[in-house]
Formats: sequence, structure tokens, C-alpha cells
Amino acid sequence: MTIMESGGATLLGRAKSTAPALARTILRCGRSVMVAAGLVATVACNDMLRVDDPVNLTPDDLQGGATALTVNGVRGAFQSMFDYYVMHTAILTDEMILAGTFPYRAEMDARSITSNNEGLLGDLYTPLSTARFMADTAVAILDAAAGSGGDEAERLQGVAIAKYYAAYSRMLLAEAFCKSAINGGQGLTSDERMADALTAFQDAGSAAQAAGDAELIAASKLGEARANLWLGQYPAAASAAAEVPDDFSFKAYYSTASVAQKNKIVRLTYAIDEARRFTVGDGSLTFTGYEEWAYFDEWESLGLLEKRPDLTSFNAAVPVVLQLKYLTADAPIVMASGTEARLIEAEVKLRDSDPAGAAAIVNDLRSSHWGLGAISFSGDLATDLPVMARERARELWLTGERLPTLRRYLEDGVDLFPGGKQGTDTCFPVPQRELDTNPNF
Amino acid sequence: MPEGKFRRAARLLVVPLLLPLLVAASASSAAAQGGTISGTIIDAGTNQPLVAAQVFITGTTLGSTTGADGKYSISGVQPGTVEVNVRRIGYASTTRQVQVAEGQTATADFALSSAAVSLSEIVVTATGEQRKREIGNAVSTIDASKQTELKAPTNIATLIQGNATGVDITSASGTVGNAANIKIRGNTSINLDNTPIVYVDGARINTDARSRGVGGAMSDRMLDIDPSNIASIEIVKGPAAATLYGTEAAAGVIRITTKNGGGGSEGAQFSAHGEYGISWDPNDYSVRAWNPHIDLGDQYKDTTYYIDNLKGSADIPDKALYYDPFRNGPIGKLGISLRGGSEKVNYFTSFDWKDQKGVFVTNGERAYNLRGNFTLKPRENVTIAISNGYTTSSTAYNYNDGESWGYIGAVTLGQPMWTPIMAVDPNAGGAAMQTCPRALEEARITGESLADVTAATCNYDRTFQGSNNFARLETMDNQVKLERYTGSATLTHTQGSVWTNRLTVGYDAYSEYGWNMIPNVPLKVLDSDPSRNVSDIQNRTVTLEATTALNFNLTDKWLSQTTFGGQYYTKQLRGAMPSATNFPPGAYTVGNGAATEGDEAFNEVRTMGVFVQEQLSFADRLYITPAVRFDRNSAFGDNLGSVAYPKVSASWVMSEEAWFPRLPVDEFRLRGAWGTSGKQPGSFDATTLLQVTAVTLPDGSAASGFSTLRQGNPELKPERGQELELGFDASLFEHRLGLEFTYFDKLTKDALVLRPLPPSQGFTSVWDNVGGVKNKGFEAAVDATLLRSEGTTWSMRLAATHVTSMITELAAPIPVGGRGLQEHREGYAFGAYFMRPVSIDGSDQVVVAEDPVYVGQPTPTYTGSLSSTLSLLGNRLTLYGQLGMSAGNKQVNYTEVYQCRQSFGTCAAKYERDANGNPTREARLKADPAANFEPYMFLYDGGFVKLRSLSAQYNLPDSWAGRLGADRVSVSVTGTNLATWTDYPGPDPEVNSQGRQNASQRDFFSAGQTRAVSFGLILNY
Repeated sequence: MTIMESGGATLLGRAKSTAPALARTILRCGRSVMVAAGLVATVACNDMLRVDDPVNLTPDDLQGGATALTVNGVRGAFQSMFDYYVMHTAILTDEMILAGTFPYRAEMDARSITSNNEGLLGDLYTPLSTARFMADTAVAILDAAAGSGGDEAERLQGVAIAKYYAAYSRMLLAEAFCKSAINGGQGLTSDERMADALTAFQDAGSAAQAAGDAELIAASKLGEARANLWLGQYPAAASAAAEVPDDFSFKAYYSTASVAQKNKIVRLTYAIDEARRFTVGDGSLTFTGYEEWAYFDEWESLGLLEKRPDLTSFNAAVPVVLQLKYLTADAPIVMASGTEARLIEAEVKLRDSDPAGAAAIVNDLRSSHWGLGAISFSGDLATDLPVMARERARELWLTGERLPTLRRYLEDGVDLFPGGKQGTDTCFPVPQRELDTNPNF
Repeated sequence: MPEGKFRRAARLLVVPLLLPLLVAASASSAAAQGGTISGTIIDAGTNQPLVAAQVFITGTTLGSTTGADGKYSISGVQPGTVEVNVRRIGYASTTRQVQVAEGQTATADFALSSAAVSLSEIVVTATGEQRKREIGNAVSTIDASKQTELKAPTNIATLIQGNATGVDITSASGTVGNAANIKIRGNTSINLDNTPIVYVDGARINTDARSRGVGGAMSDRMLDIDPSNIASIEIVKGPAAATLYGTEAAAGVIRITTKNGGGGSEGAQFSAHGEYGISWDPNDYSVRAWNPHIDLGDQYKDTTYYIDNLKGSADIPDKALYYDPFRNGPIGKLGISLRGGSEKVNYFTSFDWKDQKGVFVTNGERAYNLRGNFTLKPRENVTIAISNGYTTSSTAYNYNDGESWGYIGAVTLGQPMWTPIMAVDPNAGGAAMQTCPRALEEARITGESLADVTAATCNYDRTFQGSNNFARLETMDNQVKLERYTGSATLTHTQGSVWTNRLTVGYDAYSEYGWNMIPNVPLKVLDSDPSRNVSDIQNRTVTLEATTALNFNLTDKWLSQTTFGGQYYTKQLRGAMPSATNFPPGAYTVGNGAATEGDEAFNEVRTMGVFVQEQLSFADRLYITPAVRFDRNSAFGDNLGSVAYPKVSASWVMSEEAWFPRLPVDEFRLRGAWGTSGKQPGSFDATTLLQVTAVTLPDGSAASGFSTLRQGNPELKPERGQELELGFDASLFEHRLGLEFTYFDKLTKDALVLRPLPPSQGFTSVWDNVGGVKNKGFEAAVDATLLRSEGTTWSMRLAATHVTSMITELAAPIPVGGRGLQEHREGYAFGAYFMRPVSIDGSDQVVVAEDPVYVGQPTPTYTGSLSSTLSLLGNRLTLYGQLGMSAGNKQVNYTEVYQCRQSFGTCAAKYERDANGNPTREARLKADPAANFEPYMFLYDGGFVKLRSLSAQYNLPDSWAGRLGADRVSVSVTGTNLATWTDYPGPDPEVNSQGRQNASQRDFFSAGQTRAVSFGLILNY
């Protein structure tokens, strides 16, 4: 072992005499040279410090369009958001109730949602904003790729798809959130955001026309109809809905190929590996009181629900009632359909004092879809809207439609939000994160 | 291990193991000239030989280290009178003149007196070995060999715990293999890992902690280092001291030196040690208080009753399902080592085995360590130190520690109304039948037949949370297999006493192959689909360091030492993460799954730095040392060039001034240091990243898409730690009393914060240099030798650290831990607990205030330890004890919060009561889940005092040892974690269900620290 007694007093008299000439030379002129050499080495050796990331993309990777990748990104961002969106709006409206333990979901179930709610930020607002941002970004990327020599037809269809998702995301922001922002901009009310969505759907329709995509044309029209319905522009809503064929549907798709691609409604309500965090209220005592789905008995007889006392919910405290609409993790969720278009037409007739016309449409759906007998409307909105809500609930269950329905009817003075709750929320507040970080809000 | 990997590992070992022998062969031909000095170094108190004492000839590069027999030999000494100096950790340095004749051997034996403070002690710094007196900052040095014998530590964390001021160490839980939290002088960084960087024999090693997917339990690569192979540990505490370690050293540096052979022992010394012990869980888990709406009788509210009932009483019909999950966890260790050599070549080789079972049936670890260290001296002025360490281990984890459906969750959340019991029909009598308390109660109330009610209501599987009874939990298979090699080679070349060059190459590589599997057996955990998730992580860390130091006299009293150095460091991770579900019984590899997925991970960081240090010393008692290091790093933003870290320190040994009073002070010095160091961003934090996602297309096929991941920041730079420390060291009354005191003030500027962006912007966050953290406090230690007489020695050490930690700069609060409990908030303690007051408005609605109120902090403000060592019976019997304490922090018992939310009645105990003893309406409303108020009802003082260690070690009389042919035979008994005094009502205040974390802290179904007693035997030949 070698130990340098570097500062030892006993060294003082010896170091001078034993210092070799080489060392003396270096001492005289070497320090500045070494410092300079070190600095040069440090600054010059960029290559030794270069590290590439093979895991993720950078914006440079998307230059030139990459149409399929870009459009798929739009679809993927929306699909991974939409199932969660459906479930969280479902517990606010009691389409489903909480059988798990997460407090942030309990807030939603109790209709008492704080702006600091983790799920509000992480499961709803952020994914929805990301889906909207991805769609808008895709439009920008594909617009910039015009004339770059790629497949123009593919590009045009990509633009139409991206614009549709951009519009649809705006609509969901309007329907679910009391206020919302885009790109760090100012906060808009639901009505203001829906007006924004309406414009976006019209733009998407034009793009679909340019691409010659009939499915997207119909989807955009239905979007216009839904937005107009919200905004109280009933003739326009009916007019747009009328252009949607009965057998039309546009869906968010899921797959069992990976966990991320699975339909989370199934994972959270049915599949055994998620321990059933959501269920349907059968009138039992839960965290937020006695909860019962308003149409429980009818739906049980229709085979939409199944009581399963042999199963245990995640919190082991709420009886398990399985939803039987989505049975496998690759079940798609309908985003827009001819059925919805017909219901819009029926509601417009109801509001236009044509209860018979409304009933005709509804009864056709009841008969063809469920084998149910005919009903009639009274002509009194306060009486008829709850009936219409029941029809909409059955047809559009777990598609994110219940919340906008209840919010719209509340404007008519018909409160169908679940009672017996600690809170009275009818929409999701803006997350505190947006308020804290967006000075324009 | 796959055959290919084994071969590669074998090749890795063979080269460094054989190389020294080749070099040794050439070295042996170099005949020494001059005389030789040899001798034995012993402890003046115990008369026992001292291993690893450093002996050198003053004014030369000649030196040696003692072997296990305390012997040394130095040849090639110039004839005449020379000064021999001897130093060792924990002992006062001593010097003697020795007369040497050409071709003769002079004997120089030394007896060293213990001393807590010795300024001549050698410590390893970034520029090489230096005496403590030269360094302007505090460095804690731990005599690991001694502590290992006294404490029987199971890992390096428990070895260090309580033995270094300023260092706070907690194990995340009592789960074997779970991570340790090691913080030096508080948390430095808001978002980056605050674990200090670690060097083993000059090689930087990887200390990553990685979640195992069973809750909060993490594997921790820091814990791979076997304590029995460590000679000493030096802890460099903050930016003032760690400047020359550069961009990643702001949280401190731990330098570990492993054992080596003696330079002059007589032949080889063989040593063997063994240990056997038992650990058990002494903790009381939460008392059950089931839903008050269902009164099953008080006995069912008691977890103890419940667990006892499940331990196999006659009432339990199916013992296979309801066995006792707790057990006494045996701990076994065996080790052998061989050390020896000559002045030219010495070696230390060892093999160690450890098998530690956890107190839960599926938890445990088995490890094998192989070490081969060699020191070669082919020429008088050239030394080559080669260090090789190989570890292979297997660790099994279980569900607990943050997971509600684990063993602890199963019993604390289980429902006793469905517990299987044997009972007689209360209405009809007859033979006892299997039923459950709920059915029995209903039969009593309704008068129905017990058999009918049983069939209708009993669901025994619901006894447990999530249907996970112990038999199901036992089927879960979660393991980590590790192969690791850590090696280094350091070449030291000296030219007289003027010029010293040092080159170090370090290499640390490991393969961590882990899986989390639910096998395809009838009784599956969670009753879930069979699944297997594999993580195959390959990590490689390479260190290249070179320094050159030049000494020369400026005047008769002023000496200059200039050191230039450079370092290149790279750390690379590659990982593959395949997974599968639904494979047939017995064929559980991923490829057999009905559905498979896969992913890869990659991460790399490269750092290049150069430094220059100038040390000016005056009369070997005043030292002034300015230095600067320049760094570049692969993770810096594109717009950032190199970063400079300056420092300056001073050390003044006042006791050597002529005017300083000689008595009672032996040594006294003042020291001060100011310096900066950094903490680099993550590998790709400066770059805007988009993540590739799998997308389902309308036709059901899958395609690739992308989504936003993180916005980049081309201005990103390392955060900058700046520290001022001032202190003194004193040794008094002939080294009977040692005092150390250090005041430190550490400020992290430009702290890297994952700054939240408006979600509406599309990217959720960006790394930015916008935070500030301040840690201020003091460290103090008093070492006293209370009794030093013939055959008896009694010493005590009291050490205390006070740290106040505060966020000094942060634009917007950052939530911590995800439960709405903790936040980083400017002006408050790091990761503080905040409560949002709840009130009831006129409409009986719960109103939660927007503005939070500070209610405590998760990290202690005071930590300390009290150790006592008493040697009796001619110093053959050594009694040792260590108390550890922690105060000033709070701990949330989230298990109780969870029970509260699941109507287990833990809330009820907290309700404000009216005059009739009923919970007030307001209290119940506050307990509403929407208020998120429960965590504050279960936030407790987290302080404690623990009896961490109590041991007795007895060295058998030499005659007895001689009968075994041994030089020394020692037997010992050691108790660990024998008692806890705390106001915390949960199982153990010293746990964190989050594993290794900066700030996120809670007790959530955590396994408390275990208690253990072990017996040890050491044989030295």
C-alpha cells in the first residue's frame, strides 16, 4: 500500500530536494496546459455524451406527415380516455355506483366533487384534454404535410378523422365540465364550449366531404345535432339528425391484445381481475346512502343487469350487480348512432309540441330493440322529459349520454339527478391544476 | 441462471482473479534492497491484534497494512533512523523512531489506544487519500468490521444506521428485501432521487430501487453489498464536501472500502464466521372494529382474537385455508475468508452465504457473495489495487406494504361474520356443524334452522378482504433473481513524495430478472386469471477516473499540493418486460400464454468532468483548499454548455499552535467549507417526447399510434446544491473524550421540478429549474471513554442531528403521494402534511376549505443514537447496545383510514361525542369520504425511541481457541429491534408503504420492522 503523506511536517525539508526535474517543469507550465486541455476535452467530446432514446418519439420523427401513425395516435388517445369518461360520468348520474374505495371516486358518487380531486384531473380532464390536443395537433401536422408528395387521399381522410375527434372531444368537455379551457386559454362555460364544438363538427363535416367519407359525414352531422340540441337550437338539431341513417354507428374500439387496449368498463365492472370497483345500485346501503338505479327492475327483466350475490365487490361492502352490456374487454363503445339521431328527432318533436310524433319514433325503438310495448307522451314537458330520459337511458346506457341528458333537462326544470347524496353537483368542476397553472383561465 | 449468462459471468470473474497472480509473478522477481521493519499492532485496551491498521514510513511512499493477526512488514527501508507511523479508524495515531540496518529486520510493535477523534486518520477523497486534518469538511468514518461483529447487520443500511451523524436511514418495512431510505442532511431534491451516490473501492455502483408490483415493496440494489466484506465506510455529506464528485453528488457520497490482505502477516489467515437467528413480528396490527350496524359481539372486533382463531383452533374446519401466515423467520449466515500475502502481493478472498426468511410465509432472500481483492506492488512506486465482488441472490416478495389485499389487509379488513366456526343449532341443538357467526346470529334472531341459514348466508371466502385467504396468497409468486459483478482496478504511481498519479477503472453490472406470477392453480390469489409479468433488467455502470497530484514547497512552511483530475461515467439500463395471461397449468413461461404483451426499456446517462484542486498548507496545521470541477452531461439541455462547481475549504489544527494550551486537549481543530455540486436531470428530460401507443382499429387489428408524454426544455440544467458548513473536532483527556460538531446550511437552487402545465395544453408537465430547497441544522457527537483500566473498558457515544428542511421556492404547490395529504409548498417543510378544514354549512352540506392548513411534516427534525460498549473480563467479554431515536415527524396510519372508509368503525373511535356519548352529526359528516378528512384523524406523532441493538460477544480464552487450532474464537448473541417506545398507535412508526421515496410517506398495510435474536461464531486461524 502506498500512502502519500501529502502535508506532513516531516516532509517539508525533503520534498524540495527530491522533486524531479520533470515535476518541476510541469509545475511551472503544466497547470494551465492541463486545465485548458481538460476544458477542451470536456467541451469537445459531445459524441461521448450523446445518448439516443429508442423508446420514445420526438416531434422530428413526425415530420413529413406519417399519416397513419398520426391518425392512429388520435384514435388511441380518444379510446383510452373514453371508457374512463363513460364510467366517471356514470357514477355522477348513478348509471353505476361505486363499489371500490378510492375517495376521489366517492366524491363523484356523492356528487360532491372538489377541484383537487385526483380522478377529476388524472382520469377525466387531462386525458380528455390530451385527446383534444392530439386531434388538433394531428390536423396541424397533416395540413402541413399537404403537397409533400404523400398519399393525398389518405391525408385528406386523416384530416377528416382528426377533425371529428377534435370536435367530439370539445363536445365532451362541454357536456361534462362546468367550465373548460383549450391550449391554456380562457375558461369557457359549457354553452360556450358547445358552440365551439358545433363549429368544429361543421368543420369536420366539410373535411369529411372533401375526403368523401360517408361514415364521417354522418358522424359529423350527428355531432352537429347533439351540439344544437344542447344549445337549444332544436330545428337545426332535428335537421342534422335527419341526415343520419338508422343503421349508422361510430364506435370507440378496444382489444384484448394488451391491458392498455382493453375496455375499462369491462375491467372495472365485470372482469374478475379488477375486483369489481363499480356496480349497479340495487337499493342497498352504500357509502353515499341507499342507492338504487331508477330503472333497476325493468332492466333486470330485460337482461341488462344481473344480481350476483355470490360475487364480492372490491370494497366487500356493496352487493354486486353486473352490467351485461359490455361482456368482453374488446367490446366497443358507441360514440354516435342512428338510434341517437332518432332520439334527438323524437325529443325535438316533443319540444315542438308533437308528442305523437315523438312517441312514434320512441315506440319503434322500444319494439325493435327491446320488444317493449308502446308508450305515449302527454304533451307536458315536465311529465314527458322523465319518460324520454328513461328511453334515452336504456338506449344509450354507458355511452356518456346520461350526464348531458340530465343537465339539459335540468335547464327545463326537470331534476333527474340522483337524490339522497351529500352533494348537488351537476357537472365536474375544473381541476385545481388548470386553475393554478393557466393564468388565462 | 441461463448457461450463457453464467459463462459470461465466469469469464468476467476469471480475468480479474487471475490477472493479479500474473502480475505478482513478475513482481516477486523484484528484489528489495535496504532493511525491513516488521511488527504487530494490537489494541492497547484488549491486547487483541488489530487488522487493517495502516503502517508507513514517514516521508516515503513505503507502507503496509496489518493482516488479521495484526502483523505487518515493510521492506526496502533506507538504513538509518526512520519514523514509523501507525493509524487506524477509531484509534489515536502513534509514531516511533526505528533504527534500520541494511539487510536486517527491525521489530516495531505498537499498541494503539482507542480514540473517537483522530485527525491523522486516512480518508479517501475524490483526489485520493488524505488525512482528516487536511479536509475542511466533516466526514463520517465507520469501522465496518467492528460494527459488523457488534450489530450482526443484515444489510448495509442497518450497518450504517446510528453510526454516522447527519445520516437518516429507515427500512421501508419489515419485509425482507424491501428498500431502505438513506438521506444525508435532509432531502436535497424535490423530484429527483435523494439517495447518495455510492462508490465501492473506487467504482461507482448502481443503487436503483425498483417496485416489485406487490404494493410499495421495492428491490434495492444498494443492499447487495455484503456487510461482512466491508472494511470501512466514509460518508461525504453534502455539496461542500462532494464538489469534486460533480453533477450527481448533491445528496452526498458514500465510499465503501472492502477488505484487503495484510502486508506482512505470517502466512495466510483463514477466518470463518457463522450466524443463526430467528426473527419474528412483534407488532400489533390494527384492532378490528367491524361495522357497528352488525353487532356480532365484541370478540369479533378484536383482530388478535381473529388471528388467533385462524391459527388453527378446533373451531376452524379448514385449516388449509386458514393457517397462520406469520412465522418465525430464520436467519442464517456462513462465511469464510482467506487473507494474507507479502509486502508485494496481498490478497483477501471470501465466500459468504446468507439465507433470511421473512416473517410472512412467502417472503425471504438467499444470497451468495464471492470476493477477491488483491493489492500488488510490482515496483516500489507502483501499486495496483484490484477489487472483485460477485453476488447472486434470490428474493421473494409478498403482497403487503401498501397493498390492501395482502396478508395484513386480509386480516385487518376481513369480515369476521363469515369466519368459519363450528357451532350447535341454537334452536334445535344437535351436533356442531360448520357455520359462520352471521348465520348463527340470524338463526338466534329468526328461529330458523341453523343449517338453512348457513346455506343461505355463509360465504367463507368473504372472510378475507377481496377473497384472498392465506392459502390463496401463498400461491402468488413474486421473485427477483440477481447476478452482479462489481470490480475496480486502481493504479497508483508515485514519484518520490512529489508526484502521485492515480488511475481507476470501475465496472458494475447486474442482471435483475424478476417476475410477478399468479400461477394456474385451482386456488389463485385474487381468484384472477393466471398471469406472469417479467422484468429483465440489465444495468451497467462504468467509471473512469484519473488524477495527478503534485507537491512542492513554496517556502519552508508553506506546502502546495495541486491535483488535476478527470472522470467519465456512464450508466446504462436495458430492460425487457414480457407478460402473459392464461397459460395452462405447469407451463408458465410467457410464450405459453393465450395473450402476451411485451415492452422494452432503455436509459443511459453519461457524465464527463474535469477538476483542479489546490491545497495550500502551512506548517502542517493550516490547510486552505480551493477547487473547481467542470461537468458536461448527456441529460443537460441542448442550450447548456458545461457547468462549473467551485468550492473552498479550510482546516486549522489549533492545538498544534504554540500558544494553545496542551492539557486537557489532545487535538483541536476548526474547519469550514463552502462548495457546490449538482444533481442532473433524467436521461431525456430535456427533450420533447411522444410515447408510442397501441391502438385498436375499427377492424379489430392493432396499429401503432403516438401520444404526448412530456414537453421538453432545451434550457434544462442540473440543479445546484450549495452548502456552507462550519465545525470543530476535539480530543481531550488523552483521547478519553471526543467531540464533533458541525453546523450546515445547504441550499438547492434551480431545483429540478416536474412543473405541472395546464392540462388543457396537451402536455401535462415539463422539467424546469424552478424550485429551491433549504436544509439547515447541526450534527453533534460526543464520544466518551468512561472507564479504561486493566481488562475493562467502557465507552459511550451520543450522536444527534437536527435538520430543518424547507421549500424555499416553488411557483405552484405540487401534490405528493397521491392521497391529498402531502404537498410541496413554498415556505413549508419538504412534503408537508396539509389539512383542508371541513365545516358544515347551513344546508347541512360538507364544505371543504380551499386553503390548506399545515399540520406536520413526514421527515424527522431530530434523529440520534446512543451507543455503549463495555468490555469486561480482560476485555474478552464485550457488551454493546444502541438506542436510536427520531422526533419531529408525523406518520399517517392509512390502514385505519382505509378501515374507516370501509365502515370498519375506526372512524367511530375518532368521532366527537355528544353528552350521551353518541357521535355528533357534524363529526359524522366530516367523516364523509367526500371530505377526505379521515387522513387527518389518523395523523399521529411519528417519533420513537428504539432499542436497535443489544449484543454480547465473548472471546474464548486462548487455550480454548488453541485446542481448535485457532488464534481466536468468538461467540456472540445479538438482539435486534428489541423494544420500541412511541406514541404512534399503529404497528410501527418507522415504515413507509411507498418504499424508497423522497417525501411520500404513510403506513398502509405495512409490515412492521421485525425483531430478531441471533447467535454468532467467529473462528480466526
